[in-house]
Amino acid sequence: MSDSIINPMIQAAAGSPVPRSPSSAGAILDSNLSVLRQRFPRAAGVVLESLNKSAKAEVILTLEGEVISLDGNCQDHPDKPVSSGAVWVERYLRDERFSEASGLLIYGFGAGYHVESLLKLTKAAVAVIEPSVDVFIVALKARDLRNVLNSLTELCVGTGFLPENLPNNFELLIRPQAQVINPEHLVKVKRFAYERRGFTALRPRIGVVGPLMGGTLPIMSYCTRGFAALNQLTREIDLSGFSSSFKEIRKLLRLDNCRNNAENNYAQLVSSVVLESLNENPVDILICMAQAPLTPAVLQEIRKRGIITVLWFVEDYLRFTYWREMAKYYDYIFTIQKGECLDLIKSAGAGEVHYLPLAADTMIHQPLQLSIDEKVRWGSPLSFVGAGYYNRLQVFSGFANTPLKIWGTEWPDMKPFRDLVQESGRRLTPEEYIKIFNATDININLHSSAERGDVDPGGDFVNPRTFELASCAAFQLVDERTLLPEVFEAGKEVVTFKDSADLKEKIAYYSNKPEERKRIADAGRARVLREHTYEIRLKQMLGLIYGTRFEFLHNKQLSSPWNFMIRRADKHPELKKRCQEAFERGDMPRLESLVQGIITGQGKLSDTEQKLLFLHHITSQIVHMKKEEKKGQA
Amino acid sequence: MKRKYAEKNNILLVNITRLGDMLQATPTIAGMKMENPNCRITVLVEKQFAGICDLLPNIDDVVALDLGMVVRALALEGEGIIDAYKYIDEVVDKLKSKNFDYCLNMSNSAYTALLLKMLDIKRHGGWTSDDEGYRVIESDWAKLFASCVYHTNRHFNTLNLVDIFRCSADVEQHPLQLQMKVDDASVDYASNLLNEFNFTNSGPLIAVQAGASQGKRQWSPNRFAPFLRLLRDKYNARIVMTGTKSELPIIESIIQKSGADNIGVAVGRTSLVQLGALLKECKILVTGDTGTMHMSVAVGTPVVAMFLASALGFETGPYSDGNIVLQPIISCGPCNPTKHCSRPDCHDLIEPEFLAEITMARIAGDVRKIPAHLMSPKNLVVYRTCFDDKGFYDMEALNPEVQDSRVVKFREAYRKVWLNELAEYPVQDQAPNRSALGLYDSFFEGIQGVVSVAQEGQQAITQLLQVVADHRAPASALREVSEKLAGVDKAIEVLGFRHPELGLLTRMFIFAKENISGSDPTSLASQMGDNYASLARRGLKLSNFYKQLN
Repeated sequence: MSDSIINPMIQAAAGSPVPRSPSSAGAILDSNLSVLRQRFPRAAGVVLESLNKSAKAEVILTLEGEVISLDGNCQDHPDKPVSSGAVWVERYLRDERFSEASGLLIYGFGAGYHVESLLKLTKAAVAVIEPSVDVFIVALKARDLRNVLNSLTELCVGTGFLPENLPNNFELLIRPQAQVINPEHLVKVKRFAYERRGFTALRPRIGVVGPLMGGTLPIMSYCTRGFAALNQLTREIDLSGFSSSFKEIRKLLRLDNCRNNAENNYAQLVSSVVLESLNENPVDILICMAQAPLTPAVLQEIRKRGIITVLWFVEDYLRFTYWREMAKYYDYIFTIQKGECLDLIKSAGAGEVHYLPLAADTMIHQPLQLSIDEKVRWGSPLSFVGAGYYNRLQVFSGFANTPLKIWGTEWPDMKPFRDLVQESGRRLTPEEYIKIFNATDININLHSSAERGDVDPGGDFVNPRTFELASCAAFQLVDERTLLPEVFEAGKEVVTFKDSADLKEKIAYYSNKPEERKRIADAGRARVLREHTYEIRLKQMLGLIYGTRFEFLHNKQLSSPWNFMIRRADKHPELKKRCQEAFERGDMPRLESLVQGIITGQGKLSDTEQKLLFLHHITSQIVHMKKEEKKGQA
Repeated sequence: MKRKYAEKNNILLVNITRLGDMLQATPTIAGMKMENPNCRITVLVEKQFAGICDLLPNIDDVVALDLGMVVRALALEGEGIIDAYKYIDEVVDKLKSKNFDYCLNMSNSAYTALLLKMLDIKRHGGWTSDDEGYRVIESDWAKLFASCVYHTNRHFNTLNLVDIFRCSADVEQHPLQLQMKVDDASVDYASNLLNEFNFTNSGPLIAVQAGASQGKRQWSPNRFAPFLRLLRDKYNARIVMTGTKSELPIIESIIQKSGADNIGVAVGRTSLVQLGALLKECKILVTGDTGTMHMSVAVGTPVVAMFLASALGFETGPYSDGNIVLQPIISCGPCNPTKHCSRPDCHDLIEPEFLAEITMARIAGDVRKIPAHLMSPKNLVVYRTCFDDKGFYDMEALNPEVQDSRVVKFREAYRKVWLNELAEYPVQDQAPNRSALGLYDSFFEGIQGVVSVAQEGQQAITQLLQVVADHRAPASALREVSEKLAGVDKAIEVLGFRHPELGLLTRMFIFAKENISGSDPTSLASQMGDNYASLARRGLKLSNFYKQLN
């Protein structure tokens, strides 16, 4: 038949489902499956499982080849899948972020035309996720995909698994047509991709701000160290110096309303200091520890500047209810409780709310070799470290005439506590209580309760002490908590008790079992090192943030002055390198950042160093001359 | 005169700073041309001063450095830093392409020192940087300048900065005056401007520069006013006030007190060259230590200059013959230029009447003694500027009796030391004055101490060289010698502080020590040895010259 007859027939057929002969479709499928089984067994397994089920996807013929439609949505361009696939790929590769990536992960296989184009145009490792098994099966039946399958580095079909061997420097390309197949899965994939990618592609400046005082204060430093261990640019905004003035307010003012007014004003002042600190030295993510004194107005201003606000709410949401007013000012809130806590805080307006238990800082909370004097001073067969909450008073009042040593504040000055409380009930430093943990045979870890007189039967969160004791390889008896089994195995890594009677029994039992205590304590430490360090927690925290804010942070980074400077310094390699290093350090785009490290008298200065120092000296000289002019005119 | 680089063909002068500094460079520039008629002279200046280079003779090329742009770009931060860097990169490349064979850096700033290093011109004078970025003063003359400006040493220096820079550039022949070109158009302009003032007096035309760069150098308007009244009313003078627009408030304040008759205000109405033309029309300029003073000298108009506060006539006095310099004698002067003064008492030591009289005397002719009808002022030295037989600027006191003779003798003794040591001019060896033989002066204790310590230093260096050469010498030997040398250096410095008249000598030693170069221990030790030897020799000369003067 002549072309004049054939072509109109093809055109007429275009857009229509293509009935293939069973034999040809079968042959294509077999040959594709053969490669699939060999290269991607797991994907092959998923495909084979669904092969005989009725397909929801169908093939449609176009002028350029077959395309696949799923529930009426075409997974490729409906007319020109080949050329449009090529255009789509070329658009991505024009961005050096993609053209220089060592791995490219495509979400959405469709009929595979764009994947073929990409494989021709890039040397990067190409992996694909196709969320719809149906679409993929139809593709396997419709087209010879052996070359494509042989060229991919990873292939995931369906929603049951994700790639495992992506290079660090990979980028995610999302086919618009694939987005509607399974939006939840796409969110999961984006998080997966950006969580990993964030740690290599992003360099946000992170600020950590702590409370004025209290038990959460040391956690700020643990977090700072944890972020540093993750190679994140972090700075601490330590407001503890303002606590003494805050205490003076309390000394001076007795009436509640006067005190509250003064304290609120003071909090506003401290808050404004934080804001000025951020003016001086901006951050991209601000991590606030519980009770960090930031007012709503300041938090609003911070968010207006595009800074991501995060609260690690390491408190009991039922006892400390300020989250009701403050949640809406935080993009992310991390809690140490689950269930209703997460729902309520989310309803109060927080951006995202996630459970994130506390941890231990293994640089601080570690086994120590103590001197004899230290053992004498800090040691005991039985110790408790903590404040005198109601339930603790009730439980420990039964410990009169025992070797129990109590350390901490707010214990009543009466029997038996007068004999049990050490060093007049003063506040201890972390260094001191770590010595106590190490020097004690049995550490009692009783979570506080202001309402119950014994172990709180509904107690859920795990306090920091649990992780810190374990990290010190110190044996502890800890009260049962609903969230404790997730973090420590009772009887193996910690020993739990359900009430004060159980506590006494276990004390009696373990008092004469030093080896068993050591075995359990060592196992507890091993668990901390594996799963409960601040580095691990913060990686999780950041992963969640990066997973959802990758593009935002990435765009912010791209618009950083350093990026423009680096590009403009292209013809000056050493200058460019200095700019890159300064950017990596999180320095401000100022001359000082480039001159830092050029110290006179430390070897021959390079040309670039000389020029930078020249600029530095000019600035100093001009500033000096202007000062002199002012003085002269005075 | 001893010279390191007499021959120069393609010269770069780095003189980034102010108008006065540019004018003060003109004898050096002219001298270079006199000694190397075919040489090419390029001046690197800050952009805002580039225009004035057109007014200075003997400059073949001007490279203008836009520091203002650089500072503005840096202030923008971010990409502005790259802009500034690229600009400097281009300037350095441009300068390098000119293949200079000699450079004189007449500025002591850190950035010009670095610039010189970047240009890598092998033969240079003045300030530069070493490979590690330290500022290095190569020329002994430049070290002398650095030692003199250390404010406690200024009392004892009589060498003008023009001569110090000239000698830093190894220039001996030179005109005994600053230089400036004035074109006809500017002359016309000045003439028309003067006509605009509609003077009714017919007496001499006197220019007055009331403003100064520093407040404490600015004579009080309360004193200027009676001075102007005297000139105008008693001597029928016509007065023209010069200065920049920013100085108008001072001028207005003066005129308010003196009355405006026969006082023309040219403030802010002239360009630099027009100001030069205006000064040329005048009989005299009365001024503080200002750029206008230098300009007046350059156009040939004599000056009567008040050197108040931190200004010192010997250092920056009007570089030509026959000017009058008034230098107050006050215990705090010349003061530290960087310190503010809330009560400049030195201003009160110049009476308006005396100033008016001496001005008129100078207009009448060269003044070589205080006019008979004038009482010699107490606490004010009246100098006449002149040049010695070697062409170095000097000032002779017309009322020497008011000076501290001890200080004067030290000045003279030091002058001889430097001209002999640095320029190798011979000095007639005189036997010490008999009456000086029994003279006690704490200085002698000090100088004996310096010479003796310097000799100890030389011995320690000899020891050090032996230790360095001896491979078997224990580390403790090296440590011992190093400690000894540190002790010697400290002793020298302390002597300089304890005996202020020795400060110039000891500070020269310290600068010499800070500027030894290289990394070979033997060479370094040898250079240090030379420094101790110089110190001892100079100390002895200073002592002898001082004795001779006594």
